[in-house]
Amino acid sequence: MNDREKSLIEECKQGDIESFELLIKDHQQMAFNIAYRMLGNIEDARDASQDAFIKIFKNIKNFKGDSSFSTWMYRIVSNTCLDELRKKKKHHNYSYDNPIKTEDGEMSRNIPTVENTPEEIINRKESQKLIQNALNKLSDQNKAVIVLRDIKGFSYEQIGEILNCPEGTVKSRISRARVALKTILVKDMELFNNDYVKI
Amino acid sequence: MKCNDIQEQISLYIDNMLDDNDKEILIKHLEECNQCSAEYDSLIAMINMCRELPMLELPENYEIGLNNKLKTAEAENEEKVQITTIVEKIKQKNWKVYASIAAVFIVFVISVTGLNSVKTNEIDPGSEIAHDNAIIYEQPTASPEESRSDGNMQFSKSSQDSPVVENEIVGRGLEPSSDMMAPVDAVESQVITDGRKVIKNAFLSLDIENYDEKFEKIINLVNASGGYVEHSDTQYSHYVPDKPEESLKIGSITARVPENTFLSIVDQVKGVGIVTNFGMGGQDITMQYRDTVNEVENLKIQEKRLREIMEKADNVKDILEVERELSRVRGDINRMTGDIKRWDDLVGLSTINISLNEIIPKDKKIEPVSDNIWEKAGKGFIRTINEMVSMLEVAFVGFVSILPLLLLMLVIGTPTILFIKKLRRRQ
Repeated sequence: MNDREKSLIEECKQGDIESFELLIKDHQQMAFNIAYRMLGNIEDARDASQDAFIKIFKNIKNFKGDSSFSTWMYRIVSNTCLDELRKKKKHHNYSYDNPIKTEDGEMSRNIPTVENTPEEIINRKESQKLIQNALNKLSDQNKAVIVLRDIKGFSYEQIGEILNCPEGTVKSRISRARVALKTILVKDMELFNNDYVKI
Repeated sequence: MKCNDIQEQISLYIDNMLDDNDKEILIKHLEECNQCSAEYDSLIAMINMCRELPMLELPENYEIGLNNKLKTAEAENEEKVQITTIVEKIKQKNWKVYASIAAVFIVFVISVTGLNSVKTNEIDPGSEIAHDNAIIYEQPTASPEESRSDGNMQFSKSSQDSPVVENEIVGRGLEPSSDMMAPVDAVESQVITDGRKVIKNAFLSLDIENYDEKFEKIINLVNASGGYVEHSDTQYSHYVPDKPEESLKIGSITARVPENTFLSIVDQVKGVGIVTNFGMGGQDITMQYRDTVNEVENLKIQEKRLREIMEKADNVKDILEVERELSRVRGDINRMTGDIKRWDDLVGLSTINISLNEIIPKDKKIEPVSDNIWEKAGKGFIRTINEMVSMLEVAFVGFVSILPLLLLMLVIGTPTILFIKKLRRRQ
C-alpha cells in the first residue's frame, strides 16, 4: 500500500466522498467486471458493484490495513455478489425454456433464436456467450473461483484472502470448479452440435 | 497413480503451483495416459476461453450513479452517527447520576419553601414593600428555570422599547433608586445566563486543485449552513492562452455562517484542500455588551422621567430645555440599540475569510511529454519562416519604394558625375 492510498483511506475515514472516489477509481472497472461475470448481466452487475462500493465506504473505518486495500475491497465485492446470487435464487428466476404448464400437460416454450446462425457460432463472440452461459449454471462458490482465477487472473494467495479461506481449500475448489465448468461446456457443445451442425 | 487423483494435480499444474517432484510424476503420467492428457488439453482450452473474455467498459453514468448513492449513504450515516452519539451519551450517564440530581433538587425545593414560610411569618404583615422584596429575591433561588425565562421575557420587551416596560416600572411604584436598579438586575442576569457574547472569526489559506469545483463546494457549504457569502473574488494568477483549462486561479471568499455551525464549517473547508495558513480569533464583548444594555435601560428611565417633567413644565424656556435633553437621550438610546443589534449580528454570524490558491498537483502523476510536441515544433518552424518572409517582404517593399529615387539619382547623378569628370580633365 503506497502513501497516497494510505492518506486517501485516512480521508475516507473522515467521510470524504471525493477521496473515496479517487481511491476506487482504478478498481471500479475490475469490480464491475467481477460482478458482471458472477451475475451474468450488466444491470445487476452495476447495482451490485455500486452497493459493494457503498458498503466499502461505510465500513472503511473497520479496515485495519492488515491485507492490501484492493484485496479487502474485492472481498466485499465478491461477497456482495454472492449475497445477490443467493437473493436471486429466492426470487425463482425461471429460465426461458422452462416448460409452461397447461391443463393438457406441459408445453415447451418455443423461443425463436436470432443469434445462433452458423456463422456466428464460429465467431469468437459466440464462444464467449457459451462460457458466460456455462458460468451462470455453475454453483455460486465455483463461479466465484473461476471468475477470480481464470477470468481475472488473481493469484491463489489473493483468492484465499478474498474468499477468506486457506490456500489448500482454494486449490481444491479451483480444480473442482474447472471440472464442473468443463462438464457443463461439453454438454452445451453437444447441444449445439445436435441442433445446428447436423444440417 | 490413479486418474481420479490426478484431477486436482492437473489444475495445479496449469497454474504452475506444483513442486518439482509432483510435476515430474504428472508429466510422465500425461505422456502415458491418453484420457488424462485429453482432460488436460480440454481444461487448457477452456481456461484460454475464460482468459479471452473481454474486460467490459463501465456502463454510462456509472460514476455519477455511484456518486449519488454515496451521498445519500453519507447523509444517512451522519444521521445515524448523531443518533448513536446521543444514545451513547444517555447511556453513559447512568441512572445513579439522574437519581442523585433529582434527590438534590427535591431537597432543595423543600428547604427553600420551608425557609420562605418562616420568613413571611417573621415579617410584619403591615410592610408591603418588604414582603414584595422578599419574594423578588427568593424567586430566583427557588426555581432558576422560571427566573431565567422571566428575565428573557423582560429583556425582549425592553429591547423592543415598548410602553409595556414603562407601565411595568410605573406599576411597581417603588423609590426612584430601586426603580433604576430593578431592570438592570434583570438584564444582567439575562446576559450571564445567555452565555458569553463572543465575535468569532477565522481565516484560512488553502492550496487546492480544480479551482472552480472547490470554489463551488465552499459556496455550497456556506449556503447549506444557512450563512451567506459576503464577498468573493477570483482571478487568474497564471493564464495559459492556448489551454485555458491549465490556467491557475487565485481568489478569496468572505463568508458569514451561523455561530453554531462555525467550527464544523471551518473543519469542512479545511478538508477541501491543503491548509497553508489558518487562524481563529474571538473577541469577547460580554462586558461591553452588558454595559451598553444597562445604559440603554437607564437612559430609557431617564427618558420616561423627562417626559413626566415635560408634562408638568408650563413656560416655553423649560419646555425647550427639556426637549433638548430628551432628544439627546433619545439619540443615545438609538445609537446604543444600534450597537447592540450590530453586536448581535456579529455574534450570531461568524466570519470566515478564505483565500484560495490553485496549484497543479505535481506529485500525483508524472507529466507525459506533451503529445503535440511535433505540432509545436512545426508551429515554431513556420513562425520563423513567416518572420523571415515578412522581413524579406519589408526589404523588398523598401527597395521598390526607393526605386524612383534611385532612378532620379541615376538620371541626375550620372550627367553631373560625367560633367565633373569633364571639368577635371579640362583643368
